[in-house]
Amino acid sequence: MPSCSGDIEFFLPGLELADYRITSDADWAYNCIAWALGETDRWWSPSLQSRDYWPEQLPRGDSVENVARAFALAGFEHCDTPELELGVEKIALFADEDRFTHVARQLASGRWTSKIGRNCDIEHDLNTLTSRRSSFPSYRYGEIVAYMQRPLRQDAQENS
Amino acid sequence: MPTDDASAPQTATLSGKPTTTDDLRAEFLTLAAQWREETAGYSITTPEIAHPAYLRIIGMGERSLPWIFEQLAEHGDQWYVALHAITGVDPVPEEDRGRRSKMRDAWLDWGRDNGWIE
Repeated sequence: MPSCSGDIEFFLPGLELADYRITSDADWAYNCIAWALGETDRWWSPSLQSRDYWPEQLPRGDSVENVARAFALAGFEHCDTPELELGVEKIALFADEDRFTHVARQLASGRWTSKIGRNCDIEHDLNTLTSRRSSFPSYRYGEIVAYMQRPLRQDAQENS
Repeated sequence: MPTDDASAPQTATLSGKPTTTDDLRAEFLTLAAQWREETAGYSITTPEIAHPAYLRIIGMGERSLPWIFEQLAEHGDQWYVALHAITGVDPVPEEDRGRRSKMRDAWLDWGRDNGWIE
């Protein structure tokens, strides 16, 4: 059975009473952006100081707009709702004010999958990642600020 | 190249309080464990490297390099910003950015070549 490292419910208190499932072991090789794009072997990071991957066509910077541009390069475009639609793959972008913090990807079931930093993957309801409990760590996932979609790929269907 | 003798019996903190290398290593290990636990959920780099424990480790400078390489070899994790900040170099080829295993290997090779890893 896959297991997370440490207590992810401390970091994401909305999970405490939520119906969620751990779907992978902790893995430092990829992050939520990679996972939303279907990759498990690369860490994407828009951060200015980062030494990790970011598309060379884009400037570095943690703004939601900049991260949305990276997803646009992969065929995503903005949409209005997270409602499940046949043949469409959706993602939800999280931010603290304008600073990108996380992205979750919708599964064929209508639930969502997230890679939690260097930790594990989980399957969850969308709103469970936005709750806060304390001021520390002060920087968590914040709120959902945008939805994007693209036509569902064959490999995404197989991974759903 | 190491410019300091890591086995020296004493060093000093900015506060002037004497501390041994063993004390500094113990502090490093505490900070590294704290940082790993408290930042594992962050999805991007900025909050990871802004954590007070990470900044303190960068502040230890070259003395922390052998221990950072130990952590990198054992756990992987996000030590690349600290290594770059302390050494001023980045041995990772552009095409390997984000490929964390290759990034780790490039840094461990650099650490061995420059005398930080025995």
